[in-house]
Amino acid sequence: MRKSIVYSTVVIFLLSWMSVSTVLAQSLMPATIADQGSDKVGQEVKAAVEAGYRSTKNKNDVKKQITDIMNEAVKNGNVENLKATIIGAMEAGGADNLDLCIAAINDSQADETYPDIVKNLMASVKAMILANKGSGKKDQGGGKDQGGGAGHNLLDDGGTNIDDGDLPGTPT
Amino acid sequence: MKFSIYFVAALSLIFGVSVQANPTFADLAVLLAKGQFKEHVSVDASLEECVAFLNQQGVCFSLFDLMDPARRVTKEDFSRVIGQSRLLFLGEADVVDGCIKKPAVAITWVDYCLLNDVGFSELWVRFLRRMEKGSLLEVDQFFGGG
Repeated sequence: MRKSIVYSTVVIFLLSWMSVSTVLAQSLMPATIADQGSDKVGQEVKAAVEAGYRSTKNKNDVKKQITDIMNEAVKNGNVENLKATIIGAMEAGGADNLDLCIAAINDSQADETYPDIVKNLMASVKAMILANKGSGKKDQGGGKDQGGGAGHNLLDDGGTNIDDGDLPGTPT
Repeated sequence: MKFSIYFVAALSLIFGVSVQANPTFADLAVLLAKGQFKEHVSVDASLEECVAFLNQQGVCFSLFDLMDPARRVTKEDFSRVIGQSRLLFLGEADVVDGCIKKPAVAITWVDYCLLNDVGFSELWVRFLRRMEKGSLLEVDQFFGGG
């Protein structure tokens, strides 16, 4: 049996273990996620953990679920799947459950087995999630006249020629 | 022999841009936010601030895409964010589940851009050319390389 199928099956098992709805569990049949790459694994982990949060008020249950999923991901040995699992688990809980999720991952073998990968990825995902939470305002300042820029505009070829049909900016 | 040299040279000219460039979603997010949306995003904004702004508007960037520096932006990905930006500017954005929906009139986002004269191919080439110079400072800083 392929590793990904085993991995997917474990996710399904944990999903069921958390007593989520039958409809959701049925929609996550192993065949739908086998061999479809780390994206699919990440999405399924996200769905499973989200279901976990919905199905219980005891956050420790969800924490254990995340740790178990992480341990399975480590056993699976596919680093890309492990990364996707971390992203999926962290995204599922959002900013409000970041600490719980990080603690769950730290409790797993992922942190021991791939310390650098796990630490760096968790820090990056955390920064993204917190930034998303904090972006309440549309206008972040600046105004129309912000100067020449740094060649960031895709309509700007980076040159200063004002006759070349683009938006002339500062060469990079 | 001469023919081979010309053939290789021609291939290099045709495919050179896409072969050398490594277009990542993180770079695209920064370029888009600080370029097309420069009136709303500070020039000093970090990668995560750019992504947060775009996601808030419905020009969505997935964490799975952003966190994988090996994952390349495809022409379809690129046309999606350009198309979504256009809809946003026109005030025609229909946001579903946090993402601006593709209008039903077009089968793909590439079609949408072509049908609406967005000048998408030129933007795509410029994006790849910019990426040939390497990742943006904001991206390097975020991932600890800058």
